[in-house]
Amino acid sequence: MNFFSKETNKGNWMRVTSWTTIVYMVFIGLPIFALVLRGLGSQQLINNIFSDLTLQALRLSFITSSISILAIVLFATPTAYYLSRKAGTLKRIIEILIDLPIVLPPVVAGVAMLMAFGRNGLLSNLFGNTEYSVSFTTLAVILAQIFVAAPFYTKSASNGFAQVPRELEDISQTLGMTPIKTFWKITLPIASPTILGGLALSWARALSEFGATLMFAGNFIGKTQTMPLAILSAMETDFDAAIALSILLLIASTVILVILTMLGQRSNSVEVRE
Amino acid sequence: MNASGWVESKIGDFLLTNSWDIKSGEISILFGGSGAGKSLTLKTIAGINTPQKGHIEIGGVPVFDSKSEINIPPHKRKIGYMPQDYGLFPNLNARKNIEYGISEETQSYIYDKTNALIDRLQLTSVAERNIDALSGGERQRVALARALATSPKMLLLDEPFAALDLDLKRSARQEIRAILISENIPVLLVTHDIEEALTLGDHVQVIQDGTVIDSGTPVATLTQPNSIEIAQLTGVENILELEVEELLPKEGIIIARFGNALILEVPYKKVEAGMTVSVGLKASDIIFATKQPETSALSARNILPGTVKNIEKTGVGYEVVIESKDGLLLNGHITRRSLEQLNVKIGNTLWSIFKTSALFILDN
Repeated sequence: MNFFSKETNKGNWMRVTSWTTIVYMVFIGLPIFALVLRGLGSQQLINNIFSDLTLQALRLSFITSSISILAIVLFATPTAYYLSRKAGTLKRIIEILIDLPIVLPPVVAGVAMLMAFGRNGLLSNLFGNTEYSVSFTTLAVILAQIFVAAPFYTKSASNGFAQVPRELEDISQTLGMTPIKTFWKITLPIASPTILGGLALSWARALSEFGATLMFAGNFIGKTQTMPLAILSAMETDFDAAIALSILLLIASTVILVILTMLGQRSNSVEVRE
Repeated sequence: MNASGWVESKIGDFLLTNSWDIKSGEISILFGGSGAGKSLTLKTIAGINTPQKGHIEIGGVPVFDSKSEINIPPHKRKIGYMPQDYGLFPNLNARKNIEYGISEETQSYIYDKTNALIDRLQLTSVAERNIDALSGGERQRVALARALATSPKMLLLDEPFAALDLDLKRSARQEIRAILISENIPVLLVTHDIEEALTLGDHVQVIQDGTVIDSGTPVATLTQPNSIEIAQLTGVENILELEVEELLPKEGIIIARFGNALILEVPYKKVEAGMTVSVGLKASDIIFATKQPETSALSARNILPGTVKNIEKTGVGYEVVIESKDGLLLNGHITRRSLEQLNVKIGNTLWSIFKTSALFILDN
């Protein structure tokens, strides 16, 4: 067989890709495996999982990330639709602004939010109110999560809407549906697999938010100490508790990802035809 | 219940100007090549595109008027619009697509009306199927049923048969025409297919570069077109440049010349001797003979010998190109059986025969 024949080249290339995939999987899988192994080896795992500290952090993380996701969906969905139907410079500028939190170090995001919403921030100076500020409150946790997690949802939703042919919306309107009814009945259902994928990523990002929260909301038990912050505190005092928290966060993130991926696949069985 | 109007719509450098007046139960054809402004006309009537100027009336009710600033949105115009490739909703099955636009009344009314349409368009066996499990013909019928379900006051169809294969096209045309006429509403149908225009249309407008260049009955307008543009659009294979030698109005003919010696008889039209005219001739109107026919035994007046220059397979038979001694190229159609029986080969001599009435003078 000719070594340079197309088949051989393709065979070699496939072998390379399968090897890189194996290395990739091991690299991601090993730390997760090690974490679970260490957790299972700890006699205190169950006690640590059900400790007050853990449950408080878990509850706070769940509540704040749920509110954040709800706010993101409410505000970013119309924006995503707007972007999907527009073209030009203004759209590109808006897109850059939306993407910025993805590349910005979360710590910087936290400092920036302090400058805007903190005690001596831009807003309180503007309104002459230095008594109350949202910084270092539970609301600050939510704002920090929205700031860093929103781009993942907005981008996916915008891509999802862009895949829906404009023509289908036009036809829906000639069939007597208003633009808003058309959005609910046609655009949203067809775009939903892509949107749900973005929702999963966004939620997972909100749940794991750390840097911006620490800077803008602080680390107060029961008030601003979410799971990632609780892990930081525990690392200094009780290593086994940190392991338990980490495993819990790992499970929560995985569950969200799996459920939303499955929902996305179910609506994906309705194929979009170009 | 007529549909009438006129529009002027400018998009970038493209200017569309068009007017129409279609009676109930009449199918008007908008015929033209791609980019002529056909689909844009439909979208403008449907309200998807807003023209700069115009007046659009459906069933006596103005839905657009640039002067009095009337612009009824698409969802209130009561127009059935069927786009190219049908635009079925992929998230709904066939039945849900059809009932999508039925707004009023009770669930049972919606169910009955949908069933009636499903029956009428022979979709019973596929009504519960997903869109991607439907054949081309079924999709077309679902799209038509969906457009009819809202009881529209006008129907706009954009290349409704383009996605079907040839056999299906022919059978579907007759069925769809019967359905359209029984609806008794004005229908505007866009096509670039001359056969479709001839079999479906009561009236035709030929549109090019956003402007209507001719209109009339489909047969008169398209089979013997009177301009070079339309001859090209309708696929007239031979456009000959001839010089007028002699006008014989009493006999209803013109004697015209190609090159130095080649003489042809052309139907009479008011032109002047000495001028050059473009004359159309369809490939299917040429008869080939392997021997020189006796002129006295034949009614056809134009008989010219030539050499076979090229033979090419087409969809239905062969296209044979003949060159006369004077350099006139003629393109004729021939079936495979004729090709074999006459033993036509490149380099052979063939006589091309065509009647005077097969020729038509085109306006320059």
